[in-house]
Amino acid sequence: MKYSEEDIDIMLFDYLEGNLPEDEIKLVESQIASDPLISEELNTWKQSYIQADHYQTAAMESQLLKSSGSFSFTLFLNSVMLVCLTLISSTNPKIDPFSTSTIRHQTITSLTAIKPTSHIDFHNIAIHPHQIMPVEVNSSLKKMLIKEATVKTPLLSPTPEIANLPFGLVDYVIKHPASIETAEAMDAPLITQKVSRKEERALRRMKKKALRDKAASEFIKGNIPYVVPIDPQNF
Amino acid sequence: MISVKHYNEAVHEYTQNVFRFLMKSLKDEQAAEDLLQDCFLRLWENRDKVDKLKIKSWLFAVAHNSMINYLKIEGRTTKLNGHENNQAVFQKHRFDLKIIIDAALNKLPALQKSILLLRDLEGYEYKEIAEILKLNESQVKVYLFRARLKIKNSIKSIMNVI
Repeated sequence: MKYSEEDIDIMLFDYLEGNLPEDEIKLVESQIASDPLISEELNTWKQSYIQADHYQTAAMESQLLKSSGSFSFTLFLNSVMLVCLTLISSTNPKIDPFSTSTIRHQTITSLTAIKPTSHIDFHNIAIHPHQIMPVEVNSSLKKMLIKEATVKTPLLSPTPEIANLPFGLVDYVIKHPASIETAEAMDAPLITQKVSRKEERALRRMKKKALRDKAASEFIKGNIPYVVPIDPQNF
Repeated sequence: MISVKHYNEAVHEYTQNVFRFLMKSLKDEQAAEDLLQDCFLRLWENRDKVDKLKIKSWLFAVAHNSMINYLKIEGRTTKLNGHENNQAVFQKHRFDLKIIIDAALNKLPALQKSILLLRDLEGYEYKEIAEILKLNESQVKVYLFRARLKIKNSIKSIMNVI
């Protein structure tokens, strides 16, 4: 049986694609074996199949990947630390010596009753000396404390003001200087700093200069429109 | 619905396949990379609609459409430097079947090219190719036959010259 070129192509295509039933496969194989031309055609058909190349796509894959949003230990640790810090700061607020503290409603007169010779052992008291400051302090003591607050060094030696403290805490203050923060740090808001006239003038000049510089920079940036000054004589 | 895990698995499994398909179709690495990114971007955007069992075929469908669009746009533009992707096959000192096949593949219409690549590189059945390219099985078979025949004739003609 003589096949046309087109028939051979269709037959070999179907043979290679696996579209033929068993009996036809045997028939085609016998044709291939008997006819060298068909065998040659089959080789050419086999060569027409495309071979797979391999490309490097690792970089592309890493670009395309999405973060899974899984449990991040670092994030968890940071959150725990933040919570701990918040708790610590909330349980240990900064103590204002003139705010409500351990002793709330005692007046200075009641505090004067506590003498160094009394039975209270101040060395074993766990309370910081600042914490037992009363709310209602009389004016003279307050002045004294403000004056004391201007001392910038830690209270290491009994100054006359400390010696006159009515709390009986002089010994404690002297023997436990490390437990006392500097007066400046504790009482900074109460200090009324005196500035000489010369310093005031210098400050005023600096302030004006800063304002001038700011206006100039704004003008350079174009934020302030340039207004041509009107000359009343030529207008 | 595709989760991040499924998406990442698809990236690991199919990036090579889709990129190879696009590279074979376009012969332009930069364009293939751009279209690959576009395919996965669309997959992520349509993650609610795509069936996770059909990610691969969905990706190839998108890749084929992107490739068709790209070729349309490219057909309207002219490169200023006059560079052509067609390589001078006959100037090679040795007979390289792969280059001949690539050159023949470049001359095929986009649809035939896609069918041939999906069949040879990915091993898809006619039915699957028909689903991906929105054709019927007999159309796939006919287009595949035409494509293979063209490549076979290209090889044959060069073999006869040599």
